[in-house]
Amino acid sequence: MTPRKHEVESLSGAYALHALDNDETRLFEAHLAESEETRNEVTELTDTAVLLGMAIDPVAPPASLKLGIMAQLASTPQLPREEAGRVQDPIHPSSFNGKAAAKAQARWFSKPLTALASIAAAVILVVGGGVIVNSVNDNSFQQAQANQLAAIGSANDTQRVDTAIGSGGSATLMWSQELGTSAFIAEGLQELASGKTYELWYIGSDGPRAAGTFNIDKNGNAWRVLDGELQSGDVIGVTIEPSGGSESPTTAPVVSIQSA
Amino acid sequence: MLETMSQENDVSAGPNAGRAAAASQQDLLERVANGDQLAFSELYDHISPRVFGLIKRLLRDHSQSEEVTQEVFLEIWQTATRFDPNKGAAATWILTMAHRRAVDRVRSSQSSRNRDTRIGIRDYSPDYDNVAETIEVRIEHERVEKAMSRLTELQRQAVSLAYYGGFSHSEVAAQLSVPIGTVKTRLRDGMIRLRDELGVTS
Repeated sequence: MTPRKHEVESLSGAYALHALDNDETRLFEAHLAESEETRNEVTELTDTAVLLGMAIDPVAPPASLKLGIMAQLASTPQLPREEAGRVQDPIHPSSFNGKAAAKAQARWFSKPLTALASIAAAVILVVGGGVIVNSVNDNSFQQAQANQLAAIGSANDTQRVDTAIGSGGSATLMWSQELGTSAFIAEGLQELASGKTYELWYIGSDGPRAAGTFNIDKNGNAWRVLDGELQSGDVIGVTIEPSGGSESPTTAPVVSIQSA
Repeated sequence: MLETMSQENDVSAGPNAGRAAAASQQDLLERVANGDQLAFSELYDHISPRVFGLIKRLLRDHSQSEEVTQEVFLEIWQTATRFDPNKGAAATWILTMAHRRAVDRVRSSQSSRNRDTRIGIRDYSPDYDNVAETIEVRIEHERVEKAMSRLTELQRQAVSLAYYGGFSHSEVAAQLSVPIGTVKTRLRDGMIRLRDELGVTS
């Protein structure tokens, strides 16, 4: 064993802890490709590092994060499977850079998205573990809503306010001032009598402006990207209205949320 | 992450619950690789508190932690086709990815870097006072704490700074005022000691 080789091998701990800089990482990975012994050691030390991670208290991310991620799946291509027998990077099976990825992307985009996949993506959106089927069953509407939601979630200026609903449940408003769009997400809303619907309103200095209706699923969950444009400082309110919605609110808001 | 990792080495759940939960995470990941969004949703519910908790430990900042968590889950979605169960458990694959992404963010964010340096090293040992912890997490806490107690002071500080703080070995060297070569060695022999104490085998 040359001293130099020995020196590279000594990096296994730092490598497993992601403590190397880029140059050293490349150097070490070149060595890994040649040494089964070091590969085994790195496997074990990587698994050991994961145990350090398992000792950290889990923290549930906010429900809106999941919604944003789910909404992006439809527009996020998956890498094609590796061809059999092809050797892949032994350490970062997940790495998504470079020529192979570019090739993979090109291959993916040459295939048309199946209609089924995009419809499923639009219909299935999830809050806190519950599947939500939006009240409007038009698929192109669903798709547009999902796309808008994804855009809000990935905007540079996404903001969010979470609030409890007086009559039970919780609500989130996500918005992007830059895009002028906002989305309302609720969990645990009260079930309505037949002939009634929930309606969203922008409440600004000129009074309320209708922003669309929605119904809840069987778990009381719902989400909707608001019609119209969010003005700076608008309060977003939800009222219970006759089916089809009203031109101006006829009841007091169940919940209202102040946007910035 | 390599082909030698066995199922016994599974880390996705506590020692009692382990196998069933892990098998199902693996199954879910297989389905995700086929574009199954419901499976992705379920996998997210299983593992996102682990991922978010880990990332938040390194980044501290809530909104940055959310961003990185989103990156991780989109990477899972994109690359599930490349996950090979023969190379390790699903949770290992995911948490390794999450740690790498969090470290990348720490390094690219000067503001969080400065903040981390100010906080100093004592902040990076795992804490055990969270009321929300489950029995499973407490068991992992105790195992890791006990294993950590077998390290030398320098090994423990170096490993903690690197893993829980996302510091590079040169930053660890600066913080601990020891030569970089010493840090490399301590990170390696510290991790080997932890591996042995925690019973990780390939």
